[in-house]
Amino acid sequence: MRHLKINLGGFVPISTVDWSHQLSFVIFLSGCPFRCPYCQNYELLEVKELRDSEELFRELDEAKMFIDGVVFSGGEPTERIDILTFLIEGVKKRGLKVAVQTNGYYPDNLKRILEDVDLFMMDVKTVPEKYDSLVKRPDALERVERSLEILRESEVDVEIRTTLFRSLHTLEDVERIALWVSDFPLVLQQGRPENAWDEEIRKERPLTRDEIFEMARVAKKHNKNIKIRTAELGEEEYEDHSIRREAVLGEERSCKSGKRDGYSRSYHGRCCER
Amino acid sequence: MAINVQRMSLSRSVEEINIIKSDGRKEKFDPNKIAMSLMKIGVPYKISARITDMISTQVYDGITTKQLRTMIINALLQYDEKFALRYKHSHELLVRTSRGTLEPFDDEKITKSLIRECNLDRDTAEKISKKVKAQLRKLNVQYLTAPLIREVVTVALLEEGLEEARNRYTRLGMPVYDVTQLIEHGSKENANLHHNPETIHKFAGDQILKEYLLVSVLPKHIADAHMRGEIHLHDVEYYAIRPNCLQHDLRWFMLHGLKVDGTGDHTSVARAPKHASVAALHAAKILAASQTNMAGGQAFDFFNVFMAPFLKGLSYKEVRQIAQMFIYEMNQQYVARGGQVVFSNVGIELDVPEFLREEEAVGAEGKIVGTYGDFRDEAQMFAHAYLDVMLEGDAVGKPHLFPNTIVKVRDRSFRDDEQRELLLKVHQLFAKYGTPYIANLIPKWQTENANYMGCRTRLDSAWGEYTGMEKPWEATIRTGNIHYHTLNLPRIAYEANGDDSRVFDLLDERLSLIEESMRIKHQIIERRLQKDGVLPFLTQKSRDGEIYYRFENVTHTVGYVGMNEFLKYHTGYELHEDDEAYRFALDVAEYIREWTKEKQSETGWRWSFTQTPAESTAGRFARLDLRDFPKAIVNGDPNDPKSVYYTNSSHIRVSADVPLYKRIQLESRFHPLTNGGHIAHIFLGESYPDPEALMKLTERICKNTEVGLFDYTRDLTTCKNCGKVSGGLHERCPNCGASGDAIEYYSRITGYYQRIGSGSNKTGGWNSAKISELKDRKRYTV
Repeated sequence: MRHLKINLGGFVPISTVDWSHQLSFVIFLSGCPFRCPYCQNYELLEVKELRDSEELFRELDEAKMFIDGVVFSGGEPTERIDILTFLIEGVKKRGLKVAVQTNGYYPDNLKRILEDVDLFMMDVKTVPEKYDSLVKRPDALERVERSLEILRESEVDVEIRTTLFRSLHTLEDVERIALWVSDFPLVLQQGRPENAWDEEIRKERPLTRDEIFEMARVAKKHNKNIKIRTAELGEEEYEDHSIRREAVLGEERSCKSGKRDGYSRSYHGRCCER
Repeated sequence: MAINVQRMSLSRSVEEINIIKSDGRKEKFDPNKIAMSLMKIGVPYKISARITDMISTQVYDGITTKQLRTMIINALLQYDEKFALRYKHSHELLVRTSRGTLEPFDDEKITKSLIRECNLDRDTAEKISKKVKAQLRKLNVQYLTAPLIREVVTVALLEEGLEEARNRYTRLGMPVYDVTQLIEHGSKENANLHHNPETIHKFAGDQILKEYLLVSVLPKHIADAHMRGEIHLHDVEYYAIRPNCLQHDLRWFMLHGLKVDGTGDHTSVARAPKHASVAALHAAKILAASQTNMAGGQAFDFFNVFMAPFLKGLSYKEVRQIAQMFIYEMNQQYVARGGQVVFSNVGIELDVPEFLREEEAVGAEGKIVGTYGDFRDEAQMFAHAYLDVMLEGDAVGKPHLFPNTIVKVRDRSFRDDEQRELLLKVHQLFAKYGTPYIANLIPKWQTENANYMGCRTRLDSAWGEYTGMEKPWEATIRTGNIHYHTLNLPRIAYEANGDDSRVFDLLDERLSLIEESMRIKHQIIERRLQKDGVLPFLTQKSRDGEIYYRFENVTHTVGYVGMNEFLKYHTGYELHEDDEAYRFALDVAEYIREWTKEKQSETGWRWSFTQTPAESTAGRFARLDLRDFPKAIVNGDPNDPKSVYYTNSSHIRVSADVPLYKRIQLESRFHPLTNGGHIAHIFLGESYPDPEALMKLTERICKNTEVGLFDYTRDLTTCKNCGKVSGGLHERCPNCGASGDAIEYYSRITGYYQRIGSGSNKTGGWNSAKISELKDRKRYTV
């Protein structure tokens, strides 16, 4: 089998949180055109060393029995598209599924891998007019728009993600993002300031789950598929009735809805009374 | 004040007069001493001089001190009765008794006690007591007390070279300073014991019983091996009185009713329960009552199955209420073993296991209401209710730490929708609190039934097959582990110094010590049960006269600590670093397992081999070894002896950079060998894991590895301010930003969940070695 020197920044052998309901092996590829101040993987912004692809595939083979697929993250994995296509091929050969996390800066590269990817998780970082200045790249917005267009026209599964910070995202911003990508599922993620690149952001308080729920409520007006993801309770689907649906208080409300998800108090689909 | 006796008109010379003292020695008569002793008790100078004068005329060579004293008393009586009495008392040793009275000292009492307690012959005993009396006289103490006399006697015994007698004669207890420390600061030995009056009493009592064991019950070479840290005898405070743990059979009490004292003589007696809620309350009280007789975990296997017949016709809401009642009882009966909650465990079946389907089901008032196979729905409903209550947490959002919830996964568990639905809830609980355990009965090496406790004690039906029980699965209940003993494996490596055969010689040597101790323990408990009658809950009888506790099935358990460090020293590699070294570790484990099989056929008793939980042993062994072997390989900071620890059993070093799946696979191969218990911990990273994905991982672990018991452990930060629980250990609440007193930390200590501590109150939390381990744990970002 062909070897390649790859821009491997690291990997997580088994993850439950990088791909909804799937067990994934997460591969971080270094190098990124953006310089977002809240970046948590800022050590991977530059390509520092190249490693042999064999090393990675050996690990993947050992993990294979336990996982569903591979998530490519970064950095920006589509930046070195030759390497990414090579790796995707290796993953597919092993019968595993593929997801790619991308910032959408390389629309043409996205096109090249559309067929082989099961899920694109694309970042939409902010509203259009703040885009270029937030990521510190003059043509970012234009390229992100093109990527969204390509994904819109394709058959592939897409999930849009926005990572939220107190100092960067207003309620109105979130509403406009939801409107902008209203035809895609949108995940509102709680940003973790303590891991941010920018020292000012590191000092700020994270948005609380309640605050993100409020953002989700507003987003829901324009986008029927909203999820939130927090350190407190992980990924939750936003439903109108779920605003106060918490593990501690949720029984009555979720029972009346008849819904059976993470915190429903139903039993075999029957609500409280049999 | 000095008296010039020369000025007194002595009528004759006293030069040649000798006095015979009580111990037979001679002493020259000295009139000064008489004058001094009289003035000391307040006799005026003039009278003192006169009496001294008088006595000096009467004394004769060879007079005894006793005669001399009588002479003085008689002389004093002529002046003042008061002085005579005072003199008498000052020259008589008085003992303040524990009854609060003052009694004259009597050396015959010492003689008798030495004969009775130490088996000394009368001559030796008398010699000692005479010597003690003389020494006591010299002491300038106001009153003697029994403990003080005993201290002096033990020293006298040592001076005579009677060390064995001293050990029997000594008192047990604690230095005053230690008691003060205990009262003011508590102890950290057990994470379940918080600082309160009950635990203070417990620790004080423990101290006596620990010393009693080492001084009086165990032969010196075993006690020494324990003290040196070659082996560890667990729960030494309970060794001489209590067996370790018990898997209960709830049906017994549903048939016979409940006597919490075992006899019904001292407490109210309850009939067989009629209502589901009473059955649940009885269940809680059974565990608490039994805990008073036992050192370790109290468990119900098949809990939801055996509760099921009581739940027929109840709504889910009612069933949930019953589960909630039970769970709160187990977390709020703050009374066991010195103000702890019971160390409780519950085995949950996802379906009624095949071997129970045709078993008669015990229902209300002890009546047979069909077979357990008829109550599948109710058993599953109860499991749902139980898990829902656990998921909810307590009133402030903290996890319920007890009972340890062991979910048993069997062949069909992943294929059957209803079981999957329950399993998903189990994984929601993992995701939120990380508290349950998965017992994996799928691998071929498992037996028809096997149960586990949170501390990992495992009982299986192999023993039932071995002894030809009609229903082998019954060998897993109404019995438990009698005692844990643990081998310090790294120590063996240091002593063997690279020599393979020496390793096995040393193993034999340490194992034979353990065998000897185990036989002693077995005999003691047999006696406590049958003769002393101090374990009445265990020895209670059914209407047919059958004893509840199946002593004939108790298992004798040998465990080990530090396989990883043992291997590193012996081969240069850690468990995950080299295949050959890893195989050697398996050989060592196999060797110990085989040894337990030999013992089983020699003694006819059940023996098992376990991965010791080692809550404090991991730290104790490492500390002792670091002191005695400079080359010792320990984790933690060698410059801070409190922080050092060995890796538990044959786990991979917690900080090792090994992918999760590899860790599981490496650890899993020890599980089939350790029939007495094992566990693989999967330490989760900070994020909130996805329950569905986690469940997939569980399925793959269960189907593809040999793992018998495992858990996903999350570190938790709970906030009293906003009631939120967050993954990971944070200085500030990630939700509301509160810090200090509002923040509490939780993680799994060795088997079970415990509070690590908080900004304000660090007592009752983890010991230093375990905190050090926590910092080193490699978290997987699952």
